[in-house]
Amino acid sequence: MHPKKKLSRAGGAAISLASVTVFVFLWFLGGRLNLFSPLLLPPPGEICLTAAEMLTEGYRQLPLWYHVAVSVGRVFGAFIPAVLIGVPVGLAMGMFPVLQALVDPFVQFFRPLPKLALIPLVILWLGIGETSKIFLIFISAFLTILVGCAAAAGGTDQGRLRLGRALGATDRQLLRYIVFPGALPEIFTSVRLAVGVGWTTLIAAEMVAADTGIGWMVLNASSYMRTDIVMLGIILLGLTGYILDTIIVAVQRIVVPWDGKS
Amino acid sequence: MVSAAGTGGGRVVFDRVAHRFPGGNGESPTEAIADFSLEMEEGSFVCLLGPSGCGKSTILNLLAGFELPSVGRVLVGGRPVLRPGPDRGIVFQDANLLPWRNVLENITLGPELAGRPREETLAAARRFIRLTGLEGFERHAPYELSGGMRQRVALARAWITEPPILLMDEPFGALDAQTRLSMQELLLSIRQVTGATVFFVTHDVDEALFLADRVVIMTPRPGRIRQVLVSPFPRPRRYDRLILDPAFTELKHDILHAIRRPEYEI
Repeated sequence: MHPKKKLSRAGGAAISLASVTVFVFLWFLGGRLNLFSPLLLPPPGEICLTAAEMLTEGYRQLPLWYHVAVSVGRVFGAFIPAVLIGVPVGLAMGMFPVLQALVDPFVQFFRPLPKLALIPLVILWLGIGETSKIFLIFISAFLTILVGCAAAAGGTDQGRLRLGRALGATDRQLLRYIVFPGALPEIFTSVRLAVGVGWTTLIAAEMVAADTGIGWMVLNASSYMRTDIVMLGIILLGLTGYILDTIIVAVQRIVVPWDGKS
Repeated sequence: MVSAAGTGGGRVVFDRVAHRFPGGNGESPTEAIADFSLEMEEGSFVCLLGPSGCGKSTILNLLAGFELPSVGRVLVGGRPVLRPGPDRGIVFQDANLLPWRNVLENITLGPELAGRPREETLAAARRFIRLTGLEGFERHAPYELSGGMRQRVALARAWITEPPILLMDEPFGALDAQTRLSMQELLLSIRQVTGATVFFVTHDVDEALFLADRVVIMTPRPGRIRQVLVSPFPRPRRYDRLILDPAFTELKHDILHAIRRPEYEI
């Protein structure tokens, strides 16, 4: 192995695929050799059977895809307003230090706060319906985007700002022509992080009186010791998150083709 | 587009300007330039020459309006400079192109910000693309261009609105000798067409003598004017002829001597 030696895309993918295959095989072998209790760690075969069963019969009278769709819907319901509000407000914070100073204490207080701690208050204020669930995810995603965009706008190259001003740009034009496009790569990074954080908060959100969703399915199955369903849920959560991230990276390549090329 | 040159907007006056930067952490402020007075006639070409750190760029930033002088006044067309504006085009040392815009879009940024009609802008862009030799590169992204080509784009971008004043902050300092010479020739040939006042900062003596009507030589910090030298060379100039001229060698010698002379001899 050579540190930092470049891999071709296909070469990297082949190595990743091999590592996952070996991992699943060891897991399978461990199950066969009874190295661990199938109740605590169900082998891959059993999870496949559970998946097949759930695909035909669903979980708690609802098809599996429905639970996935509900969870993705909640995350997007929170995520879209988080982007629409977070990006412009974050950029404005980065451009105007006064605004940043006004808002920053609240942002820095709430951002590291475990969102589980907010559940009682959110239930009291917003009830136990979808609004509470979406709000919890929104808060996490919004704060992540806000901080990322503020840093991106605040880090706008001094030379570019001077160029804009010298060409007669107004503050609004600076935002549109210089700050926003220049911040796009970092905006995408913060959106990727926000999807991750939002997806993480899903479990907290689906602890609020839910009866659908992948997060809820995992919590619900655990109380019946159905570790196979718990594992299946975890795999689905991981895969969905991975797919969402891949989609954002693909969009980023189209929107910011110049990123990383100087 | 009517050129603003010829309406008095290209006349520059530095009136006993001094500038200091606040010192950080209780240190005393840094005096960047002191007692700097200079008048530039409309359409003149002045090179500001001095060792690095002598405040050359500070003077250019004051004229650009990026900073306001601590003492004294900077006047453009008789009015004090309070902020940057499109009447003073700027070319930076780094071409500073926007990577998300192609060559044409970078060149047309100024007129676009000013809300000029698209047809008029494109016609002007075509003209300056031709003058700077960028035909065929209109759709290229900045990262596909060499350093010299990028600086051509920066030149066209600064010049497309035909500002009465052009500020250049060591624009060719990062280029190789060959490219630098062709850019200097390009600058002189475009200037013959547009007739703007040019304020050009450099530390290259040959460059200053080749380009300028007057060479302003600075002292080390705090920057003051040590000497103002009027160039005796008629235009149009050719670099290959210029360097054979004994007067050129003599002037270059004098300038190098003036730059190296220690402060206490003034």
